[in-house]
Amino acid sequence: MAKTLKKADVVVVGLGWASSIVANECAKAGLKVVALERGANQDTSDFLGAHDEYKYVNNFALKQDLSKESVTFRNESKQMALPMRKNYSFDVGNNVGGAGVHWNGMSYRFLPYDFELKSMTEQRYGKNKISKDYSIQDWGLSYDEMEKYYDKAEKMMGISGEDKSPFSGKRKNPFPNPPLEKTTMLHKFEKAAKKLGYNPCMVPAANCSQPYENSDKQSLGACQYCAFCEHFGCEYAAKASPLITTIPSALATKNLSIITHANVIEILHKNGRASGVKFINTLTLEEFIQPAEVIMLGSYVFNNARLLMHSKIGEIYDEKSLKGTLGKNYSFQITPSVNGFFDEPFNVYLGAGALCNWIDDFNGDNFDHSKLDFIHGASFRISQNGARPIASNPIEPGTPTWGAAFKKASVRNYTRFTYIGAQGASLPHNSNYLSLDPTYKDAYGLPLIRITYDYTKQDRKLYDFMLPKLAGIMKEMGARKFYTSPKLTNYGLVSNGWYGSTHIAGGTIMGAKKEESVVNTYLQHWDMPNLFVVGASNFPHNPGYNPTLTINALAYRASEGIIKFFKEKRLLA
Amino acid sequence: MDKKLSRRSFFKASTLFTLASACVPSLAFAQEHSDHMGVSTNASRARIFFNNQDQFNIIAEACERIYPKDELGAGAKELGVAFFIDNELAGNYGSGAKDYRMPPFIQGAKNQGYQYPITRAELFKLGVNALNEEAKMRYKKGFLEISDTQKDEVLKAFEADRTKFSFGGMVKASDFFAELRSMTLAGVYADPIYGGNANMQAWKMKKFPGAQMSYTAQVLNEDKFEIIDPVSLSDMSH
Repeated sequence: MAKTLKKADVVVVGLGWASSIVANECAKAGLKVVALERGANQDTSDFLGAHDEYKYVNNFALKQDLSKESVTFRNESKQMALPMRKNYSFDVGNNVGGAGVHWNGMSYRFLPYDFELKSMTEQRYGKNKISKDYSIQDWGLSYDEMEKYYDKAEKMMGISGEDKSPFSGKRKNPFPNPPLEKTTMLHKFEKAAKKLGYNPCMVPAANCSQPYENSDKQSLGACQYCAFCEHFGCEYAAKASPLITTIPSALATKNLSIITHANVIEILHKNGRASGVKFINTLTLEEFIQPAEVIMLGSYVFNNARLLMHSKIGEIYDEKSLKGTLGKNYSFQITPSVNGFFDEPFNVYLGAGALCNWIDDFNGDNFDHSKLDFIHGASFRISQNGARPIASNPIEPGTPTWGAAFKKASVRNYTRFTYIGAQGASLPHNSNYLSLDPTYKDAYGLPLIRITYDYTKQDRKLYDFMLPKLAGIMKEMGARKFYTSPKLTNYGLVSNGWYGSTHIAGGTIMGAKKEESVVNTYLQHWDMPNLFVVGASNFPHNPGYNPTLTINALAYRASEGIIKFFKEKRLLA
Repeated sequence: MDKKLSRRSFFKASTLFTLASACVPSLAFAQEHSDHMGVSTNASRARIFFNNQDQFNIIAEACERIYPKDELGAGAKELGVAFFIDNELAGNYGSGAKDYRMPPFIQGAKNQGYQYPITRAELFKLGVNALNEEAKMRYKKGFLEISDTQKDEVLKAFEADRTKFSFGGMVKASDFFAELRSMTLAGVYADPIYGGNANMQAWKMKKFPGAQMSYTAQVLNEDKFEIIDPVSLSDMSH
């Protein structure tokens, strides 16, 4: 028998970026918030001496424990989905702070085109530019409406950047901090891109370029370029994370209580109203019910959708009838890239998670698509994240992958290698979606989420278009030899050794109309006004950037919605 | 099969620790500290996973072919990679403690990843035995007795799934090889606290500085190429 706890105003599920922003805003507004986090507590002191590639990268120290829960995957519906048994992909977080602890810090705003993808495409190219199998739609909020939430997120995170990309949406305020310092590689990329007529710019970084006090009076340190960002926690408190921003701010109000080792298994509801959530203490296996006036789901893409499916809230998407919106528009990213081998050595070991230079000339609708048979595009980026020795063994195609020749080549190339990676937008397609797996279960007996996903024709066209552009920049940078990534085959969980993305989107998408979305533009569930769902699961397609800043902006929007709901107690759309 | 480091190279290593770590107060301390953890090929170490010394030696020989000693420096044997792998097989890596291990186990497409019911500890035991059997089938001698070129031929057969030895459909030879290769590289390049990368020799070859606190100075110095003596986590100080 589950034990019922004292009712909260707001319960947030998971305590990564999205939930911690909602928790902080609600707590500051005087609401009593309970956060349920399946993992353990952690703070900056846990990351002292954490420069350990084997522990954090190879052994996923901060990531989801697959022995408790995984996902299943197949390319198409006639195939049997099989579980991801080893941690190949996705980088799902597992403790207080979630993936907001081990992320790199790249903090782009999406393009105005992203928010109005359907109408802007039709406006410029007509209604038949893209086949009806691609379920593209507007997000229900324009970039201009999102601007103030972006601004809030940037000021809370202390983003370091420069407003130099001519394609970005208009900013009301400058970046809170100046950009990070450029390295030799970044200079080379910038010079080459300029020479080719492109518009290079420093990537907005959540690695602070200087000490910073944020909008909640929380302090961030200055980045030391130590190059242990992605997969690691930051011991300098220089990489924005919930642990040093939203969570201490919320705790200071005394309105937030955090329950760790609390794995939520069900949203309880009756007559279109959520009453609370049921969770299992992962250490004792005891069950609890946490009643609340408002419930906010802020876990990763997979669990936002999975919890709604388990709890039978909303209609699960059906590939055959195209009915239902839950699980729909699952999308990944398209990542063509070019590897470059140089004669002279570089300090490849140093860097920061978001120490990158970028061009947007081939992203969104920043270039003319009238003679092209795809829409959208990709951002190109050179990254100086720090090459680590277990993972970075660069060899040219044709070199043996082990033995004497491998050793010689990989040791020499380690300091003479870089790549330019493109993050290409992924458009939703009718045959790509999330559903519940009929066979495989988690440690608590609940079905795993099942991914049905493959690259589409649009993705292949986009990919092929970008390869020569990427190669052109690498050539101009002066690489002795350069190689573009191989032809796009089927999507898989297992990396082919080339640059890949961990960014996924969709499943609980947002929109202005109930027929085409799971939540409205306040991220409020259409069928249940006291339930809010926030994350990259809200994106109706996956843009050509990293998702975090937009997730955080949407979390500010949702916070506004939740506070408004406490006054109006109704569907806000 | 592995040598204790000479007095001279040991002293050299201690000096490097001192230079690299400004917070270490004296050479004496540095030396004691290095002695405590640094020499991962110390002969007092013993295997803890493989029951049989020959099994351990086969792994050591196979790793050496994957990452051989050459004019650049140490190979897998001298770096202590077999000890690293043996240790890992005895722990979470070997038992797949953080892997999804619920049935049914069905072999799918390659892009669906590892689907074997066996753990990696079991995979390595099967694999070691198979390396030896393959050597016998090809050359009438065990893996430890054949020449380096012959060892390479055996490993190439594993890599390409062209073994004469049959795994009876349980696993693919190439899956064992891929795991062996990736664990060899992990043992070569992981921090010496894990028992490989003895005296950070692999980091020195690659010019990777290890667990440094900060590179702000390098970045502000126009990012001029610099070779920095590496530091292990055991010597990283805050």
